[in-house]
Amino acid sequence: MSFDPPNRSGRRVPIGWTLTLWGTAVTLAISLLLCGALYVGVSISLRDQVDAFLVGEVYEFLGATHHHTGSEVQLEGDIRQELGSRLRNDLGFRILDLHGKLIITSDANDMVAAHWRPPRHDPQPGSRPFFETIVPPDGTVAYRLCTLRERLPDGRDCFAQASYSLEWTAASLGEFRRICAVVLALAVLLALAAGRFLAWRSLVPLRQLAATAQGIGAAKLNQRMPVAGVGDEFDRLAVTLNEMLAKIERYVRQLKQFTADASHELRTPLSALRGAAEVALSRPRSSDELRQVLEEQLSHYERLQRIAEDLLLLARLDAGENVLIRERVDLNQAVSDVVDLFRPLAEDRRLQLEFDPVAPVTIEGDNGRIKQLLSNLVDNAVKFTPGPGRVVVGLIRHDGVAEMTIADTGIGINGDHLPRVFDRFYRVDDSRSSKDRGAGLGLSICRSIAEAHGGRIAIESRPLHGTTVRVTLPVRLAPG
Amino acid sequence: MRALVIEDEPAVAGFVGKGLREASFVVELADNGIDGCRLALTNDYDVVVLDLMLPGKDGFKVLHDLRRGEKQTPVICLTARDSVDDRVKGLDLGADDYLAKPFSFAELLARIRALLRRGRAMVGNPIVVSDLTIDILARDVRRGGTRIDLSANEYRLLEYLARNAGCVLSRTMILEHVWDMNQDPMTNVIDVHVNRLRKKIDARFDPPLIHTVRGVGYVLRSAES
Repeated sequence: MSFDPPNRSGRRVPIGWTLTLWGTAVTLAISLLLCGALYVGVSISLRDQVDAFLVGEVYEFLGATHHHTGSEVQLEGDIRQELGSRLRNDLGFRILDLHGKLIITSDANDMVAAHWRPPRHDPQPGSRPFFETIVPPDGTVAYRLCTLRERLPDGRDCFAQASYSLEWTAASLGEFRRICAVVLALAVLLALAAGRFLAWRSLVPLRQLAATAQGIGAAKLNQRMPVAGVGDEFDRLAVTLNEMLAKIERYVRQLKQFTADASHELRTPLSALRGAAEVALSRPRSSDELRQVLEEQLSHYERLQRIAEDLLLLARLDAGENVLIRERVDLNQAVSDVVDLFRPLAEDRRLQLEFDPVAPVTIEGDNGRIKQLLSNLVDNAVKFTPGPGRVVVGLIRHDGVAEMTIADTGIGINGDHLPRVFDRFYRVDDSRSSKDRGAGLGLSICRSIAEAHGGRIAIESRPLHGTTVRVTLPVRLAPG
Repeated sequence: MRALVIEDEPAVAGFVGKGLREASFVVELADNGIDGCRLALTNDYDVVVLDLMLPGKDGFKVLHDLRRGEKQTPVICLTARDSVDDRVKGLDLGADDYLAKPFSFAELLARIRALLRRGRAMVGNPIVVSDLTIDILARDVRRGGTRIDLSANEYRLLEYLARNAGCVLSRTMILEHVWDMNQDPMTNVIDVHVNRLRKKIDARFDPPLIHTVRGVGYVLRSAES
């Protein structure tokens, strides 16, 4: 399984490889830094050893030539003997006067003589020795030169020099560089392998998530992502995805239910229409009979029209389409209008419909829709409360919201039904005749209207004691 | 009465035309906005029924041109899109009423008649229907000289019926005008109000003045008219 994202966004490197390459780059950088530091340390240390060795040798040479008397620059035999093994071909000595004229030398043809130049400083007698590294322009091996200023027994000031070939040092450093290169190469290979392995290992849960996700389709929405239970990022991701899946599953279930209910609701009046028309036409009828059939058709048709209009309104409200008029709504007035509209109906059913008008509560919203919401709720309350009883409508304003309550002393709603009463086409009592009952969309519309205003609707009920519906609307509509 | 129906859907144009003819209108049909606009501008009609979605020239444009041409013919707009914007736009452009499809023909006819009545004459004060007198300024209602006490709602309902005396008013129209609610009347709430009013106006007097028109609504009229 590959995690390549679609090649649109330009990011084409799989995450495992990205992690690996970054790890390798970091390892390489650290190794380079370490090798470089070691190399510098080793070369400084080597040079210091060479320098200390050269100073010692210069003083030995000065001591041995103390009693050199001749005018010959060549070492006399006894001195040569005294110096013995110190005279090697990688080590040269000489003494020069302050003008650079050679007084004495261990080897007239030594490499130093070939590239003579005066010391760059002019050290004072008894001062610290001066060191420099000379790289011959002819490409032969570089050497280290130590220069001292001393006073000869005859009172002349001179420079005493010792030179030492850096061939061995260079060889050591070269060896060291080769070791470093091998170490670096190994580090890179190791980092690549380890990074690849770690990335693969740490992405195992992701691959599992992807595999599971691929298996989840519209028909298998009840499946969930595996949660290892270790509480890491992948667990959190899986939990989040599971919550999302649960939501989608709920929506899809609602949608399926809705479609099934809608087609059922439409089928019933449609089949009644069709059947009645077919039967009416199956043999000759009197005009009175035909009139009766047509009147029945009209009532079925009205039911269809009502459902179509309600569904359209719900679809619009749900789609967030701009179906609300923004205006100032005096809720006190709106509630009064609706209560006045229903009062005779309530009185006919021996119900007290009560509303105590309060100081104007003005909110921003759609007057018509709010009245529609209120009349649906009051209509329900009146319908489901047997007389004698009461329906009390309340209105208060608090904390930036207006709250309306419609409380009745009616038959109430069983706890099983309560969570579903706002669902579309959901009817608590399916036994009522189709003429009497609504399509089961009234409360859905109420909820959609409240939510389109940024408000909420809640219902609580005790069977046989009554139902209270609470609608809260924000005083100010959200912009947009 | 002359009516112009501008509607491209033949089925709708057919039943509206047939219905209006049977209600004694002389009907002309136009199936596109351009013809419709030309007819409305050249002839004098008593009412124009205008669909908003038309080929050639849409209903808003027709309405706009009509009003710019100083034609004050009453216009009822029909639309399949019952969106708030359309409604507001239509009324702003000078439509007199608005009906969303699907509509009932009885509703359309009731609205056309109410419009025609409104155009014909302002009602005087008091309004007199048979032996019922309504003093609009004093809000005083008498029948046969006897004063009748009405609640605020009952009075508003009666005044609306009386201002349109002889015209059938649908339940939707009553809800719209008396309660300022723009929706389908639920249950039988309007009937309950009308019945209460009836008890006060008609129960103790003869003849009854408030009549139910089956499948449409209510009308206030004296028996002889």
